[in-house]
Amino acid sequence: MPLNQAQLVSDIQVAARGVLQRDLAGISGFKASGLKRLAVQAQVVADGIAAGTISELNRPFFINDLKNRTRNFVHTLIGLFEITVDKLIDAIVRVLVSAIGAAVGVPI
Amino acid sequence: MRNSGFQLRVHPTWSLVLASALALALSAGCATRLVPDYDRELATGLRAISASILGLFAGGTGGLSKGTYAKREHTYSQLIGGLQSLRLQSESRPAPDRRISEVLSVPDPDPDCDSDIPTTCSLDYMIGVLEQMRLADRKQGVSTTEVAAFRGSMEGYMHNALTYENALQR
Repeated sequence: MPLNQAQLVSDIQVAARGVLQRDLAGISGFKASGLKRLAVQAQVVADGIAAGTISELNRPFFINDLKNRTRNFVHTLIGLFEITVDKLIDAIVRVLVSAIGAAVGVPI
Repeated sequence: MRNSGFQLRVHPTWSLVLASALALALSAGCATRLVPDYDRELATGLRAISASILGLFAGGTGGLSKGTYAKREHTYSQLIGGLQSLRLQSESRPAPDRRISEVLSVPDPDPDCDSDIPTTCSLDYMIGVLEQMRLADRKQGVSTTEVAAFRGSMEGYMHNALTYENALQR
């Protein structure tokens, strides 16, 4: 039995849209809250240094930690995108394999 | 065929990501993994230690005196040991395939961390934060502002780790 290509494309789009809609909303929320947390931390550190309530011992640590926080945030953001791509692959491959199974009349 | 609208919303970078990922998956017989496996025990451990860490900070909202450091020494050791154990657990998972990042020429976002798994790096940094706080606590005590800054830092890393691990769950 030949593959119904139009139906297959439509099924792939539905599968991909489901993953993207769900995951991109979550990534957007993570990005917004992560950036806010970074801004708040920068304010706490700046205020503490200005007021002298952050000691000489901790000052370089907190400044360097802001760099680490930023890198870890971006690393996590990229990781979340990779998870979404991985889910997209799974979803699309499932549709393709199911369509091939239906075409040959044997579940794969 | 009428366009469903989905294609219109896909950024060109995403098209490249998707095309590259599909090509990788098909060429590798669908065995390519871009991400580590979800580890329920690790996720549970992260949530548990997060509560314990918040407990330490809750007891220090007014600052921590050097004179009472001895009371907290064991807590620091327990928390740092717990984080090290979770780090080992996170890193012992099979490493994700980084070829998709290579295809897209994505630079290493965190060259100071020797892991490709964000959670492992978050745990590395959390250990560093607690070690610095312990050092300051022992030497001179920790001011109210410093407690707030250490707490903000720990919460940020924990937020990253929990978000990533929760996203891995299918």
